Amino acid sequence: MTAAIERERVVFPKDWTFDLAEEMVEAIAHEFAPAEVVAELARRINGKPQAEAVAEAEAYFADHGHRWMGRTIELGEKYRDRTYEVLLAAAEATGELAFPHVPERFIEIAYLSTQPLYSLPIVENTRHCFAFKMVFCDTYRALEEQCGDAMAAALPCRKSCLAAVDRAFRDKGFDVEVVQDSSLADGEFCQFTSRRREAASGA
Amino acid sequence: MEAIIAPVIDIDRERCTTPFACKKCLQICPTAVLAVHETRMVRLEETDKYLPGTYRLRIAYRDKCSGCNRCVDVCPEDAITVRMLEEVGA
Amino acid sequence: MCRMCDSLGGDAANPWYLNPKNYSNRMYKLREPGKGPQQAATAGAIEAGGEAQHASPINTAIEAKANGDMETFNKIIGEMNKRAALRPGCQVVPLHEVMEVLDMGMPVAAMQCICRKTTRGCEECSLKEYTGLGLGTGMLKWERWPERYRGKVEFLSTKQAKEFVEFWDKKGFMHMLMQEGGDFIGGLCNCDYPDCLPIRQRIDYGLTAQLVKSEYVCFVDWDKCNGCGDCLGRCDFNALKYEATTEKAHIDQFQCFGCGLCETACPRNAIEYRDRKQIPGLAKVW
Ligand code: SF4
Ligand code: SF4
Ligand code: SF4
Ligand code: SF4
Ligand code: SF4
Repeated sequence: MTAAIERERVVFPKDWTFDLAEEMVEAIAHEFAPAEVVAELARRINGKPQAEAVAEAEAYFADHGHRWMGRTIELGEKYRDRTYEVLLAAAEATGELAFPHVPERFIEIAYLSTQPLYSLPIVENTRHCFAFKMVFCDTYRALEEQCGDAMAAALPCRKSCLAAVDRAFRDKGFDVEVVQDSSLADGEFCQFTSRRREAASGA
Repeated sequence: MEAIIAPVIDIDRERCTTPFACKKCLQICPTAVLAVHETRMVRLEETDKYLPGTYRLRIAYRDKCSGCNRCVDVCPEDAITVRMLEEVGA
Repeated sequence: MCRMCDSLGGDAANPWYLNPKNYSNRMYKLREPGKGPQQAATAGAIEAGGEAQHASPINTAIEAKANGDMETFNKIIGEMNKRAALRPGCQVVPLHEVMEVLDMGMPVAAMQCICRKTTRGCEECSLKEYTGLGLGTGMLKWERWPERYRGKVEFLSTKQAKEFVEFWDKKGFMHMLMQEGGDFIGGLCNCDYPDCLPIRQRIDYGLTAQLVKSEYVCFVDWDKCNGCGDCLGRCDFNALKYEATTEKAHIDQFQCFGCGLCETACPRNAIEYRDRKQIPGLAKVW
């Protein structure tokens, strides 16, 4: 049985916040609103034959995903919160946890800011693998509405998700293979799984 | 079979004001009959165990009380009484 | 298969607690419109531990029992068991499988055990004293409620976490995973009787559904056992004794929770795990 150790009572600063900064979420929402992202695409591919339009849409989304995550990381590092700071300290202390949780933070910020979600459904976050799913996607809905069902069915927007997820890991120093295991075009949700390539290394 | 009726335990909370700081009875009871709970859980703040009333001693498992009186004997504030029902006069 | 694997996704080869899905959790949540900011909602004090505690069904049942009213007691316990059986509860997990769980590499933080604080007034303030392990990304926000954690936690590497559990196993704590009604895994507890709430509620009050036995049941190999007695005193479930007639250790299969504490203490490897589901009379004894 442990004896009571006399020590100072712990009182943390009252302004500590564990949630994402609303200012940051609003900024990303504003800059990467799905309806507008798709509207811009619709202008570009207007009148083009399907095959060409899909190819252009894929290139457009790949670039979009890359920029979306780049900006998310920039703002996410600017607006820190206690959850992130505790994670960084725990990662430092244990030599583990940075994978997958540091990239996970930015992936959560990116989707929470731009999609109709209050929390991102995480399927797995372990030392080897990070997977999440998207059940309601505004990008997909905008594609259907603005570019038609055929374009939505081609799911060019997956290039955005793949690029964004890949960038979140790469920019934070992790080599992963990102695959889409399920898609809204032919299933009930999109699911992306990122697996570490060098499974042996520590951090 | 005659029903087994456990002793009646009374805690005088005017006397037992800081049970998480004292905890003597909690640690001596052979069957761990008592329990202590914080009465206030404040965000970003640890509860002050020396502040009267921030914790509350509770009789959690009265059926396991034998009436051995160890808690009564150890209590520095004479805050506990343990009596059999006939003594209570019920 | 018991209801845990049924509802949480597990099979005979891989029980639910070895399925990484059950540890997955987000780090953030946005405030839903209409709900006040988290800050404001929790800035004040939450009243806990007051009279509301007295009114809970288990306390009413215990009071009834203390007053000799077994009919009321049995009725309440029966209702509680029925309700609890609809949701997953916590489950006993032997040491070797705890090691596998920790290998998944979720955030693990050593922390104060809540039961021990409540029952014995324990204050665990450093890594040497902590007995509980908080699991998952939720631990990254522990600072919101310092009272819950008595001011500090310590994040552990996988190696440290394994050593931590081995240390408490040697000391005599069995291990259980706290599944919170199918929502998330609240922690990996190292427990014993009488301070642990789920153990106590099951052993003393017959609340069987909240604490599920492990996938195993232990047997003594009487050819290997020499009756040394090193395992005795390790069992929290009244399953293990010294049988004077045979001069060997004896395990009551129906009482055994498969926690493995006797196994980890036996210097002669005389205790073996058997899959509960493979033994006809025990397959439904959870
Ligand atoms: S791939 Fe799926 S989740 Fe990603 S934008 Fe397209 S529909 Fe949405
Ligand atoms: S020993 Fe007495 S004063 Fe101390 S906690 Fe128990 S009842 Fe309260
Ligand atoms: S009388 Fe004995 S058994 Fe009853 S509460 Fe006090 S110490 Fe415990
Ligand atoms: S007999 Fe051994 S394995 Fe079974 S409950 Fe007791 S200590 Fe645990
Ligand atoms: S420790 Fe092993 S050998 Fe010794 S009594 Fe127990 S089972 Fe038998």
